[in-house]
Amino acid sequence: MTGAAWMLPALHFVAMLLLVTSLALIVSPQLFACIRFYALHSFLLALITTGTALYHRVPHVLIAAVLTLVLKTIVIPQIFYRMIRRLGIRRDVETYLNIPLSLIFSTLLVFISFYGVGNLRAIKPPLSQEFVSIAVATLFLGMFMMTTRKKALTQVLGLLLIENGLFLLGVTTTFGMPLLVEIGIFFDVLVGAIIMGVFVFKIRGAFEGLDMDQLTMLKG
Amino acid sequence: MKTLFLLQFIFYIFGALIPALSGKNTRLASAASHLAAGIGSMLGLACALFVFASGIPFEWVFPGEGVFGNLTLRLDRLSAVFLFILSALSAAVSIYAVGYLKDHHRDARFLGFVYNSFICSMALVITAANAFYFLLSWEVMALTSYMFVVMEHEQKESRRAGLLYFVMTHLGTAFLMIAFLALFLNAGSFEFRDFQASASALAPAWKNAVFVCALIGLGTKAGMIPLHIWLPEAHTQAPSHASALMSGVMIKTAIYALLRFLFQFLGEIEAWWGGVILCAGILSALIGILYALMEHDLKRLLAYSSIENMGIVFLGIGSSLFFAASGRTAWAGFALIAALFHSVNHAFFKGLLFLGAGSVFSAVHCRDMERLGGLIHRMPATAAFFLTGCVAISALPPLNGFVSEWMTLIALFAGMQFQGLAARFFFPILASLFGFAGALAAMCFVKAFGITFLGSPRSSEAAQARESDGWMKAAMAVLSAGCVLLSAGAGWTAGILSRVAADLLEGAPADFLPSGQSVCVSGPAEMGRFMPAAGLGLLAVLPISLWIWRRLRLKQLKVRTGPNWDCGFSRITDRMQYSATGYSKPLRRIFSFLYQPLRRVEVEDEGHVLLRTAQRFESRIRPLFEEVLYRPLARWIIGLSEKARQIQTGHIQLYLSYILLTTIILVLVVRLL
Repeated sequence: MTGAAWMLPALHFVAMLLLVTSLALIVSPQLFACIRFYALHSFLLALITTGTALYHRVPHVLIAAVLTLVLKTIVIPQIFYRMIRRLGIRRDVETYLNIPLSLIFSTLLVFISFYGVGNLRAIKPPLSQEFVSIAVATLFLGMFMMTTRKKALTQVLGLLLIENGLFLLGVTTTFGMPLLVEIGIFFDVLVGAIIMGVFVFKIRGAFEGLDMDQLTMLKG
Repeated sequence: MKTLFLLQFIFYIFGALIPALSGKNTRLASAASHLAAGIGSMLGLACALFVFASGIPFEWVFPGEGVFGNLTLRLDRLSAVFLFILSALSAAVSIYAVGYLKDHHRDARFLGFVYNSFICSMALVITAANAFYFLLSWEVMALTSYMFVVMEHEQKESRRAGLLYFVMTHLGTAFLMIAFLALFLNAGSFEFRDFQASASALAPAWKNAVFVCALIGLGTKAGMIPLHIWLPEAHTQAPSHASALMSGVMIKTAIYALLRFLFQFLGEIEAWWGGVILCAGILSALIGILYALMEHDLKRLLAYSSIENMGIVFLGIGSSLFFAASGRTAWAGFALIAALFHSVNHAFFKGLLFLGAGSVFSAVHCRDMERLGGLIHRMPATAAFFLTGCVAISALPPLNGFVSEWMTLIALFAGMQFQGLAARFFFPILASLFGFAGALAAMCFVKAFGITFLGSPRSSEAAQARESDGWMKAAMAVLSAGCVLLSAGAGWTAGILSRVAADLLEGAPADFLPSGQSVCVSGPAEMGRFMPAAGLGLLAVLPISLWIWRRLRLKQLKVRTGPNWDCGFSRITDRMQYSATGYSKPLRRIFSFLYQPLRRVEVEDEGHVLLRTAQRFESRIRPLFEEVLYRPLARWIIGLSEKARQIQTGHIQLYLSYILLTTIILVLVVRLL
């Protein structure tokens, strides 16, 4: 059932690259760089998905891989570029924590995820336990990004990062979900990104800025 | 039988839908809807009587599989008693509603829908044989009765009463759910039958916990003190015909469920349960009637009196439990019969009284007794029916209230003869307090009738009151007849109820009630004997002979008519009559520790005491339970909520970090476990 022996270490290597990309996404100070890193992250995810599909010989996962490649690596970044152009933002990413501190926290989160789900008895993934840890780490990093960023756009990026983490978890632990579910999820993400874009415009229209601090005013 | 049984529900559903389907004629739609409910109730009545006559429980299972078990409707003898109460009262109330809602209700159509759903949900509560469907109908019942309470939602008191009722009833349901879930864990199914079968396997600690939860949950609905605070408010705000059903039937569904819990679901009975219920019962009876005496609002007075009557039912149930736990099954059965009998009786006379109060309200548009008076001249029929209800509820001998209260008292007296210091000490006190409560009830209803109907009108509205229409009078006549019949046929009624008691306790009906189905009622061991027919006969002979004597005497005397002597005070006005406040003044002084009355007199004068220009007098009593128990509780909860509010900053990042932290903690917890 399994594929060539060289594929497993290669997949591990790509997974490590994925983790590094997540960290790079967290610490990069420029918005364009962030989006490029997200595209890279999605590309690596597509690679891992393809690898899983070939290794386990489950062809329908290949469709998921192609969708990942098309949607997350090309379409969603393009949406972001267009959004930035239309909003006319060229500014740097604004965070509550400075970059070194973010990096320290991120490392801590990666550590926690490896410690927490490193050898969990509940989940026995067919490939390796490592993928679960990396997926959870990606999830944590996405949440962390949403927590520390001030602007709505970068928070959307954090959400997409979380989604990538969940996708990785799904693909590596279950040989991919049924195709229908996968396609549904992709559609969700795409629509989600578009809706987020609309929201970002609306927020700017209402508050004359994308600073999420101003949403405090909505509290009763 | 099956057709009959299902047809009643179809009529209720049909009745609920009529107002929605019908055209613009509100009056006709409302009448049709209420009459449909009336027909449904008649069918229910027939079902209940059929079960009494044949003695065979009826069961109907909804076809198909449910997640929580099948929807099973079972009508055994216990359910039949309560279905009888529901159907008899709602049949009369439906007739009443046609007249009552004729002109002065703009929401008559919506009322028709709520009314039918309410009756239907109560019928389901009584017949459902599965905990899940029981709770479902229980909640529908709470919801529909809530709609009655907030029917006049533009008034602040109405909304307040509604909120209070909503909170209290959900609190009760929460406890009830815990009780049912605990039984579910034991039995592995939601079916009542399985609860009963596995009752003996219940561990003692669980059993007691379930008892406490069930008592709190059901006591809230039954208006048991100190969980009663919603009851006077809610019953006052609902339209009168709905109050009659709420007071007559809804609070008794709690009694029904309590009997199921105590005698069927919990296995071996513990003596202390009886003690707790006896204490709650005597407290409810005494405090309920004491508060009723202080009320000037006719409907609030009746509502507080409902608390008293539920207390009496609790006394019967409590002594039954106590006797059953100490092995005196015959007396346990007798006390249970008394409790069931009083439930039936209370539905009749309290329903009658609420309908009477509704007639007064629709004639005068005022519930404050200080503005009523003299209505006996303007509304003689209503006055006669109301008086019947008052006599019955005051437990005066010929009418039905007496029979059941007498039986309860006999049961309490029987408790005195038992061995054991607790019983010998406890029961005499209970019996004397119960007697005292009965006397106070009589006093209370002398006030309710006297101030409302006698004397001369205290306001111009009361002076122009008009008698209610035929529908309303017919309904009240039916219930009055019911009160008389239940008393005349007390022996037979008790005989039927003794078989219900035999279903719940181990023993033969003849042990519980040696007299059986006959003209008289007597307790086990030939203790006490009452023949209602003799009482009724005496009551008939006495006034007739008085009337004959008066006629004969008057013939011999010269009669001269003239004005009453006014002590030389020539300008007597209607405001100088005995007032409701004045009537209850002695009790307000004696029980000032309970009432904590506030009294304020303001005098305005022109420089000298004798040159008074105005004087204001204010007197009210403090709601003790609200101030001592509920206010501090509410304050504590609000304080807690204020503290919890501090984590709500409105920063989206902060909320996200809560999620992140929770996830991290969860991951670590999973790792460490």
